Amino acid sequence: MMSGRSGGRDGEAAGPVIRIRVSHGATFREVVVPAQATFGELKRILVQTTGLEPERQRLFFRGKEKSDREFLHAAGVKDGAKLLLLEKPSPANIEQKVEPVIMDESVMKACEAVARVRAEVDRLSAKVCDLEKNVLAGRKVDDKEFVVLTELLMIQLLKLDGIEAEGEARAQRKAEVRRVQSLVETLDKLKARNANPFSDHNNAVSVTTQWETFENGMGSFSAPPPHVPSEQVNTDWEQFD
Amino acid sequence: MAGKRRHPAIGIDLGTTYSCIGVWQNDRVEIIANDQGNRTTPSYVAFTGSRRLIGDAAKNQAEMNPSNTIFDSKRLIGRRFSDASVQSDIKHWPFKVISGPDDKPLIVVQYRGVEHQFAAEEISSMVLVKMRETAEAYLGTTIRDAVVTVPACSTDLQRQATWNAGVLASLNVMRIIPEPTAAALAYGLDRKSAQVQGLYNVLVFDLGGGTFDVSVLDKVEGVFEVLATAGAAHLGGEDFDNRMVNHFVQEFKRKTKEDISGNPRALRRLRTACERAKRTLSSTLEATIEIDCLYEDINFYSTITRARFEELNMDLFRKCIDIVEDCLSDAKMDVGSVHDVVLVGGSSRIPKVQQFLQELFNGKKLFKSINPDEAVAYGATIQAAIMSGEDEIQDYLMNDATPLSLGLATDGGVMTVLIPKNATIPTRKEVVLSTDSDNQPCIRIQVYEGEGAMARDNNLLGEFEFSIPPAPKGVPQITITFHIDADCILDVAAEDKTTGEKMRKTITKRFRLKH
Repeated sequence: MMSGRSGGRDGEAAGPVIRIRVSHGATFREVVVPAQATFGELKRILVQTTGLEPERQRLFFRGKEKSDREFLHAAGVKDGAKLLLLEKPSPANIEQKVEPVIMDESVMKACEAVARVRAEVDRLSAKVCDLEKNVLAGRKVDDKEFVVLTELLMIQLLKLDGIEAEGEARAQRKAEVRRVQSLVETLDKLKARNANPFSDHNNAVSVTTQWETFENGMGSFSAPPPHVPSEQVNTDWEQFD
Repeated sequence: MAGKRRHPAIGIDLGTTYSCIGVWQNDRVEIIANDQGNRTTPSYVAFTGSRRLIGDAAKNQAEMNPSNTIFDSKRLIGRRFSDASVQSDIKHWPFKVISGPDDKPLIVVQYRGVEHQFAAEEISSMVLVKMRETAEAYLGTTIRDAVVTVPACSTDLQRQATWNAGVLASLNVMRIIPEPTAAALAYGLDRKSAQVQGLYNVLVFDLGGGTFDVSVLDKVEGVFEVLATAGAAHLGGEDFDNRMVNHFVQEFKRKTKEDISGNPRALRRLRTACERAKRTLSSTLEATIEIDCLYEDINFYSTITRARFEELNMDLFRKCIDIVEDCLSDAKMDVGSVHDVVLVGGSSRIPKVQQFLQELFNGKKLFKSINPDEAVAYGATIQAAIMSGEDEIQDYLMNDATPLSLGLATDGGVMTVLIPKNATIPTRKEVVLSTDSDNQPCIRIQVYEGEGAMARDNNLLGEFEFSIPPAPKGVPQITITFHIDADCILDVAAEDKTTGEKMRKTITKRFRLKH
C-alpha cells in the first residue's frame, strides 16, 4: 500500500525533483525530493511521514549507510530509486504509561550523584589513613574519633543506597559501596586495636579472626592463624544500636 | 516591602518530631525554611563537648552522640516522672531522664564536660529559639509575638509548660491553640462555618511519624471547641516502616539463608530504603529497593507493590479507623453529623488510609490540599495574624484563593510541579513531555494547583488536548510553558518543536503569589 505523496509543492519550487521509495519496517513510502538534496535533507522530509527524528534515522542505499552531508545524485540516487530506513534505538526505554512522561537523563544524573559521593568518600578515606597511622604508631586515639568517622561513612553509604541507577551507573554505585564498607571494616579493626594497645597477642588474635568473614584489600595485618575459633570475634558493632 | 508591622507575628507548630513556623506576609501565610533550606525542623537538641546544636545539626549527629541528643521533649513537657507514659517512654530513649523536685522529669546530659540537668520545657524552649531565629533571619527583624500549638488532649499543666517554654525563648505567646483547631483554621473552615445553620462539626485526622491524634471540633459562638479527642501515642509512619523492614528481612532470609536482623548497619540501610519506598508508594503502585552488598557481597534488589504494603499494615490502618469511630462516639456524634474532615501529618498521605477514611464518611471529600506537614503551622499563623490585627487578613479570610503549587498531571497521575508555591512573579517555567503509547493522537494537558503528590488530590484549574502527528511512544517532544504575568494571570502554552504547532490556554483565576 502506497502512502500519500508529501512535500510536492516544496519540491516543485526547488527545481527538478525525483520520486524515491523508502522501505521502513513493514511499510514502503514514496517521497518527492529535490534531485540536488542531501541525505540529511531527505531525513528531515521523512520526519513528517515516519515520526522519526533525523538523529534516529539511518538511510541505506545499495547496502551502504549514507552520511547526512552526501548528495543524493552523487550517490547515484535517481528517480524511482529504493532506499532502506532503519531506526537507531530510542534514547530512553520508556514503558507504557497513561499520562505524558517527563524526559530526563537518568543514567547521567546517577553517575553524577555517585561521583559526588566518591569525592566525599575520598576526603573521609584520607582521615581513615591518618587514624591508621596513629594507631599503628601506638598512639592512643579517642574512641569518639572512630565513632564519628564511621558515622560519616555510613551517611555516605545511605546516600549511595538512595541513588537509582542502571547499567554503568549501577556498577559505579556498587564499587563505591564496597569501598565504603571496606573503610568501615578497617575502622572497626583499628578501634579494637586502639582499645588494647598493650595486649598485642590478644588483640592480634581478635583482629585477625575477623578476616575470616571480611575481605580486606589493605595489607595491614599478617595472615590469620587457622586454628582460632570464631567465637572470639569482637562484636564492636553492638555499640551502634 | 517588608511587613507593615515592625514586629510581625508568627505561628509555630511545636511538633513531637518536627517543628514548623509560618509568618503572615504579603497577604498570605509564608512557611519559612530554615538555614538548611528545610521547611520543617527536627525537634532535636544535642550537647557536645564544645557546643549545643539544635534542629538539623542535632539530628544529623544523633547516631554519634546518642546519650546527649534529646528528642521527644514534647512527651515529657508538663508531665510527672512517675506517669505511666513517661516510664514507658524512658525505656526507649538513649538519653537519661531522672526524677527532680516535685516528681518533675529532668533530662541529664554531658555538656562541655560537665553534667547538666534540663527540664523538658527548657529543651522545648531551645527548639523555639531556633524557630524564632529562623523567622528573624528570614524577615530581617526582631520577632516577639507568636501563637504556639499544643496537642488537643493537653492538660492545663502541659499548656502552662509550653507557655513557659515560649517565655524562655523570649517570645510573647499571644495564645496557645490546639493543633486540630489550627488545622481547621488553615483550611478556612472558620469562615465556612458561618454559612452553616446551627452546629458545624469538623473531624481532624492527624497521623504523623510517631503519633496519631483524632479530634472532633465544633464551632460555637465563633470559636472552635474540641468536643472529643482520641489517639495513640505511638502509632504512625515509623510503625509502617517497621512492618516493611520485617517483610524484607524475611525475604532476604528466604533468598539467601542469611539473617540480617542482628546486623545494625544492614538494618539501618534497609530501614532508610523502606522509608523512601513508603513515600514512593503514595504516588506509584510499585517501589524498588536496591541495596548493593547489603550482607557481605550479596546484593538485595527487590520491589514492593502498594497492595503488599497495605496488606502488611492493614491492621494498623484499621486501628486508625477504629480510633476515629471511638472519637465520634465520645463526641456522641455519627459520621453524618461531621461537615468536614481535615488531614494532617505526613502519614495521612497514605492512599489506603485516605480510602478507609473516605469510606467511613460515605465518600465525603477530605481536606488535604495543604501540605499536611505544614497545615498546623499554617493555621497557627492565621491565628497570629488575626490577633495582630493585620488588615489584609480580613480580605484573606473572605477569599477562597489559596496560594499553592502549580503543575501538571503526568505519568500515572502524579502531580508534577512547575511553579512551586512562594514563587515570585512574573515567572515562567518549562517542561518537556512525551507520549506513553505509539501513534498517540494527542496529549492531554491538565493544570492543577495544590500540594498533594497525586494530581487528583489537588484542584483542577483547566485542561486542553494538544494534537500531535502519529509517532512512536517517547519520540514527540512537547514543551509545556507556564507563565504567570505581573497581573497574576496564568498562561499555559504547549508547543511541538518538531511541527511548530502551538496551543495555549489562559487561566483567569488570579493567584496570590509572593511579590
